[in-house]
Amino acid sequence: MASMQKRLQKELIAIQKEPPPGVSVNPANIGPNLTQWIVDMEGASGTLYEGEHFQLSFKFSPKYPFDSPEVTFIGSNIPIHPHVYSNGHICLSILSEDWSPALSVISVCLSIISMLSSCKEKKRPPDNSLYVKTCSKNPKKTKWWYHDDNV
Amino acid sequence: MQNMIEINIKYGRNGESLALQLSSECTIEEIKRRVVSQINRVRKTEASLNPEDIAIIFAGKELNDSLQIKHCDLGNNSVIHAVKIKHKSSTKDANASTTLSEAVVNLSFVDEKSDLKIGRKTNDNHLLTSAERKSFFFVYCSCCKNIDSGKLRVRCAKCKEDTLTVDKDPTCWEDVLTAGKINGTCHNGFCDGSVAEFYFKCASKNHPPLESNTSVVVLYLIRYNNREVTCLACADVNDIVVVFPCSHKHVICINCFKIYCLSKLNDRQFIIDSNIGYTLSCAVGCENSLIKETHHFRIMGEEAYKKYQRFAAEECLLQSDGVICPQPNCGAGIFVEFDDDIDPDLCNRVVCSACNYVFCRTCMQGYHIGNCESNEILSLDITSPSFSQTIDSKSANNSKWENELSLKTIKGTTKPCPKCRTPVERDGGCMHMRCTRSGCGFNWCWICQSEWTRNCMADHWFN
Repeated sequence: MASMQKRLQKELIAIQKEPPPGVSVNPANIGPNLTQWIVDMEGASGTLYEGEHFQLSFKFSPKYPFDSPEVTFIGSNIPIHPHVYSNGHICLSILSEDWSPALSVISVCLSIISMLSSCKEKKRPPDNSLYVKTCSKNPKKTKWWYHDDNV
Repeated sequence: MQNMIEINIKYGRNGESLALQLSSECTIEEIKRRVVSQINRVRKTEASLNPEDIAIIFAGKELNDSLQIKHCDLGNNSVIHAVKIKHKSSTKDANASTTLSEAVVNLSFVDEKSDLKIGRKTNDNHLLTSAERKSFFFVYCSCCKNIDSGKLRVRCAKCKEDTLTVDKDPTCWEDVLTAGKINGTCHNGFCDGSVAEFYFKCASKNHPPLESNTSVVVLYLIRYNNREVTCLACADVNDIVVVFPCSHKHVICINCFKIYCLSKLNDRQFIIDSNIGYTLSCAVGCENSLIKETHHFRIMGEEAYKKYQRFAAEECLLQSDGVICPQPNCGAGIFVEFDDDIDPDLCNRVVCSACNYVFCRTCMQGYHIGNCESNEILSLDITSPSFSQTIDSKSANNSKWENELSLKTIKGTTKPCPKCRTPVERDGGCMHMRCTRSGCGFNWCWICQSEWTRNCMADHWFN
């Protein structure tokens, strides 16, 4: 537990000191013991999401960073994207089977920004309504079948 | 007299030895004089020896006359060899003033060519005290049952005596770990050995002196973090780290490595490799990065290592088409021999060699005649003779109730992986299941209970 908090403390300092473009963390949105964060994200300029504001929720288990964080979009504006379900779940391999303890909150944010920025058409995943009806609350319990390998 | 240590000197062909109490200021020349006078006293008939006729060999080096004991990396009860010089070398060995451990310390930092300059500077290194540099290696000692610092030693590959001097110092781990990389000269009587064999000794202060010959396993991925590399997991700079055998040489501190191993073990995510065994790769997931020396997993501690060994044995058994006895509290591994002459209907009958439980290999139920009942995934024949003989009826009923309850729960909420039969619980999500047992990874359909196909995806992916 202690090592997980130490690591999150360092990540928090790093993201506040040098946040990736469009990413910010309000200290008021950091939960007790650093186990829950809310990260603010702006759609990058020149992309379909320019001017939009999103919020990402990060939840960390005591096994972090050996266990991946639970990352979902929350709030009123969930990006419309082929890999983002309307309940905020994100289909991104580094959030489940390709997770590695060398990844971090910053690298997850960068992956999500790049996923959004490369989008050519705003639409929900083809199976959105079925998935949202049947899925577990925790996206980590979903065994993702990736729609394509270009995420 | 301060700093007295006891040194054992082996000198005869038949293993004669002499124990000397020596001050740490004592020189090699002085040792030679005392050895020679002892030999001359014992062997009255032979021609008397002079101190300059013998050489003192320790850890692959002939020690210089002017060296003091405190500079030789010798500890209490260390064994050194006094040998008759076979051939007078005209020039003194340039390296004889450095001990083997120090020589390797200086060189083991330069195993990556790009850092040659840094490596040469280790004598000025502020991170390590001289004592730490001497105990640069980490070993697992089967006697202490612990990971501690170790000492590098060298012996003759032929006669196995420490009477060999090396032609050159090892310059990388490959020289030390691969047999036959470094040559030398054995000075043991008539032995003509010319190949060096490196081995390690436990340098723990708690190591019992009488067990000085316990051989230990060197954990070569564990190193002092003299480059102050940040741990990939906790992002701290710690003193002792593990360097993964991947092309990037990713660094994880020793504590995080332990947590990494334990979390992979508890998720049964170790990888079975036919050459290495049950192991892990770099935590970043780099290719071709499996840990070859599985004793590194000793870091998990005695109890977890036993669990590791049990899991490894089970995985190995299953990979070799063996079965695990399904009887609770048994779990013995059984290799099933198939005989072509036997009635094929009887082929699936297996008798557990440990608890005598008889079961069907196909459905892992109690043995039955006729076809397997595919729905009866789990049932327990509590009334089998082996049970009723040893358990009174009251406790049998108790355990029956307990067992049936938990079995019903498992049965009601799980389906077996169609390939490895591990019960799998589905907790929401789609019907596409992927077995999480390492080594299986079978993709299957929760509804069809067979391999996942494009048809499943089209027909009932989500319902």
